[in-house]
Amino acid sequence: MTNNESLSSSRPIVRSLITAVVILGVALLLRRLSPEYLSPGLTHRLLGVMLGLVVIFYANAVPKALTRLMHRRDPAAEQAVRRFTGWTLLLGGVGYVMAWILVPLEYANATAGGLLAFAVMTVIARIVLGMARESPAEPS
Amino acid sequence: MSSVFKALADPTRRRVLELLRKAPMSAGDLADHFDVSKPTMSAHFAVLLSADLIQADKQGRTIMYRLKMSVLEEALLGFAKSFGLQVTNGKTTKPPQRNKK
Repeated sequence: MTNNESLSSSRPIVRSLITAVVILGVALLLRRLSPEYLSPGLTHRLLGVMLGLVVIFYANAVPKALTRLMHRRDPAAEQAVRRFTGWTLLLGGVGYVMAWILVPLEYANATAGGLLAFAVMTVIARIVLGMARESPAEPS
Repeated sequence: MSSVFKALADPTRRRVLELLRKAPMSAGDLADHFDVSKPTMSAHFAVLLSADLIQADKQGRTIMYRLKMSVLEEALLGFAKSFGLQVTNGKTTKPPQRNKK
């Protein structure tokens, strides 16, 4: 493996580590600021929004990132699954953020989690249905 | 990001992405949809490849192009199509001209 190859292969790991450090840093900062400077409710909301933004960030990259992982028999179907996954998870992330911003605090966690779970379940159902459609029928 | 904007600014390249959105296609099949020379088409593919919007897979003697766009890039394509130059079905506008002195 050349230096350039090892650099490019380690780039996603470095990026993920930086993202993890940023998430932990913001969480620690919010904890420090609460309750003197930020109310516990607002801290909760900000954490929820931050997690939603992380979901949006990764969902946005899904159609690009999965190109190397998914090589199914029908390239058109594979591409359709990738695009569907990206869009659905991104919309789930947007729903998660909006729920944390708009829904009353006592219901925000359940609503946000429900919206994201619905998006994930939709993606899983789409993948399973796609695989079932692709697999050839057993000869009787 | 500027390479993405550059790639999406051209109607022919936007049309290529629209075609690839339906299914991966070979370079020849894609070129059949346009009234441009093969070198010009190759230049368009090179711009899309450098912007990381498409991926080229060599299968035997043919090159298959597949879409490699993030959700945001797809949304940008939609905006460019709606608010930029409209792309019509099939044949598109003139290929990029090279300055000759």
